Amino acid sequence: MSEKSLLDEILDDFIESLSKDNDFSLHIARSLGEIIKKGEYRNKEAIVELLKKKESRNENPQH
Amino acid sequence: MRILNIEIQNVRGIKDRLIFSPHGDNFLVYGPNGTGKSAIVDALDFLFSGRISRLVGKGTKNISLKKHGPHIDIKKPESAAVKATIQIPGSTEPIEIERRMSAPNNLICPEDKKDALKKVVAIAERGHYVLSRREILKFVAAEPGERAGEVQAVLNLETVEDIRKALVKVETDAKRENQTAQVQLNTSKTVIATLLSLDSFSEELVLKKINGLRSTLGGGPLTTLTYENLQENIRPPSLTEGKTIINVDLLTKDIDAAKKIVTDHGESTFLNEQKLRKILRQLREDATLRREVANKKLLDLGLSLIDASGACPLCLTVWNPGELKKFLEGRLLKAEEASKIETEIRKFSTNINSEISTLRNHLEKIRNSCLILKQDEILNKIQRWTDILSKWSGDLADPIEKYDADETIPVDMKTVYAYSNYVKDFETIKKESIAAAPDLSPEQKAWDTLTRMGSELKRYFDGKETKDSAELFSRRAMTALNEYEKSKDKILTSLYDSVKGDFVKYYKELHGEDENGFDAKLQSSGAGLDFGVDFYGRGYHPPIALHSEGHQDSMGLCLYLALSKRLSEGRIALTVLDDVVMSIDGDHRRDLCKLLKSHFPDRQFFLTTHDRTWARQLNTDGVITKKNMVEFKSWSVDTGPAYVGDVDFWDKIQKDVDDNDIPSAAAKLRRNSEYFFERACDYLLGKITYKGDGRWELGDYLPGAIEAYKKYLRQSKTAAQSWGNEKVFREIEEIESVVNEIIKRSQVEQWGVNENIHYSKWGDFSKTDFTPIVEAFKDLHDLFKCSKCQGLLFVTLKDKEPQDLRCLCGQVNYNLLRKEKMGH
Repeated sequence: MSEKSLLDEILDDFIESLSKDNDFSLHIARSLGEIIKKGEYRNKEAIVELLKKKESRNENPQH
Repeated sequence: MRILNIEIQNVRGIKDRLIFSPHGDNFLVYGPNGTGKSAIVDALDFLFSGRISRLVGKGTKNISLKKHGPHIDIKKPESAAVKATIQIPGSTEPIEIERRMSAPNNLICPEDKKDALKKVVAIAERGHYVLSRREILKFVAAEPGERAGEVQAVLNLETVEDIRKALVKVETDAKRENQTAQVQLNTSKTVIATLLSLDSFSEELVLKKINGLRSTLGGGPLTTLTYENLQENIRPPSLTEGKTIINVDLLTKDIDAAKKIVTDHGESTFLNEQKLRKILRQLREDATLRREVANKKLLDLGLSLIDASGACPLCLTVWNPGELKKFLEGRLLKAEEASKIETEIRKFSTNINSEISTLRNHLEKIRNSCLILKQDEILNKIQRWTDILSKWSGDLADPIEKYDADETIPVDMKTVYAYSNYVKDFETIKKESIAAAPDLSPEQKAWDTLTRMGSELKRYFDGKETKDSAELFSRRAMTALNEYEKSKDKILTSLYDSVKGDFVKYYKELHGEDENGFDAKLQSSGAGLDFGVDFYGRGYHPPIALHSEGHQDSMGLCLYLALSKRLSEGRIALTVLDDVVMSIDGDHRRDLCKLLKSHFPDRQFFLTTHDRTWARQLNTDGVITKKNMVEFKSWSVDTGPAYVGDVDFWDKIQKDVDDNDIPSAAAKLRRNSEYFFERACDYLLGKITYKGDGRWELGDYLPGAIEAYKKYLRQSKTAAQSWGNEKVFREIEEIESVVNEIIKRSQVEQWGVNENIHYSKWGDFSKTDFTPIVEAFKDLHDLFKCSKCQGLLFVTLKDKEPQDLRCLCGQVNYNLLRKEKMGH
């Protein structure tokens, strides 16, 4: 098992769980996963900004 | 990655140049302590990572790579370097790499190979392919948190932990932000209630009061409460226009409210503050308490999922009845205790902060009156008071991280930090305000209150919005952290479970004889990693609690080997074992050889040892070939290590024969055969006659080994016949005839009658007489070895009964059990 796939496994499971939570839109859950996967998790502000987004569960900001 | 060739120049204890050619196979450097073996490990470390691990970390102050990396007499670091020819996966072409002490961060390699090397080097740079006894102890004896760090470092899981830490920070910030928003909202509510003379705040009551004020000014009622339209459709009283006046009524309310907080609530706030300090000290003293808070939800879920089987719902490990439940309940208790303490802290800090924020708000209004009245002295005193309250409020917003539980309260501000003669100052301001301001009409008072309400309600509605956002942020941050923890624990538990499986398997191969029921627990616990090992069926204990030092060494080595399977992502097939068998006894070392050969056939081991017997055993058991053994004899600062490469002893004997030095050749043949057949007796359970003085010789070992070997051939032939395996039956018949021919040629049996005389007489033989003896003995040795892996043949046992005659690679594997004996 490689390190990358292990981390990916954790993150995929994490995003899936988040996207089932009522406080998270699919977009926020996925974006958080992306930030972490890109290694930008040290940039606390990016995570904070995302988690503060006023976006309801069924909203899709790209459309 | 495998090392084909390595060249070390002026590094650490190596003077001038040292070249070895392992050709990608296992390699051994052995010799007494202080002969320079560690310098080889340091050189490898430097080549792949650009650092020398033993020169960094604890206790290495004033030690630097630049100064202590090159040989002590080398003044120019550019002449200290390590070069190697390596082979990496996916490339058949060897690659030359080099690193110099003058530029340790630069790995020199061909430009066109850089991309291919990138990933290999990235893994190699972490340096975890080297295991020394120091590292073994880190795995076995470390605290759970430290062990988790070590294990995660080997598995390159630091990122996983870094992400968790980042989410913890976000969650802490979110909680703080939510708490601050709550305090601000509470303050707004209290201030509005005070100014409107309400017992408690509610939007309905506030609207009712505002409509009352509007009615005084001839305005109609509002239907909804907002801050923008309080004075809509009403005209201001004439006095208000263009004048800055102090509304004594409002000022009195601010003064009374401030006094009330200090006098009526001051003592309770002070006592609450003392309690807060006490709890904070308690929490800070017990570091594990805080860590357990994060696990509470997972533990709750885990407990609810345990079924009648008692197995862990995540990894399916079977626990003794009730044990897992008891274990989780124990942890939950700790987590609940921590959670309770944290809730208490937040409760106290929020209460205190609400009080002081409200006080601050009133003080600011009093301060504004001081400004209008030009009461500078009182103004400064109130300013200092509000400054102290602001800092206090800031610390209370993040009490766990920021609040200084040992800070001394200023002597003149014991009660809510109020200065001693503040009441007198308040009275002065009130008196001065009354003197300066005319008697105000009820309309003017209503107008002023509505004006003030405009700003207070704006603050209230802003605060409400902020609180809603902060609450959502806090919930999301907490969910993100909890879900990440859950995912991490789920995946890592499965990983640790598989590592544990390998660890137990390896350990049992070494110590299964006396610890057949051995098992272990390797469990992620928050940021830590709990490691417990079974002690003869008497429960799980830390590895250092009950097992001997030798067993602990075995555990560390087995855990490292289990982890290292997952270390290299298949890119580094190299493991350096630096003198790691110090406390493992001889019998278990044999099993270790088997372990290395059978489980890591594709790994290149680079070993060092000070133990000559272990070095020989590694060779006899086929782990290392003679040509890949280097013996370090001595070392001096001027010359570096003096070493000899081991040549095959048959070559040495042949050289003596060629030189007509038969006594030397005979002595070598006898000494090496003695050692070889002693091991053969050990591996084949050959019987030898007991001697009280323990001085067994070749004549004692040979018959035992040959007899055992022949017996197993007979047994396997009978077994093959019982199973109807004609092919194996014929194969063994052929082997038997070769065996008989070789034994006859070596004249072992006839000399065995009086071995002490006859073997001693070898020295009197001529070259012509001795040459066939050497050839026969060489063939005799080969009978006991596998032609493929070169390892000695051995028998496997079950309940002390021989099961198979086999070698490590499996090329030789003969069943010894007859069909009827197996119950068919």
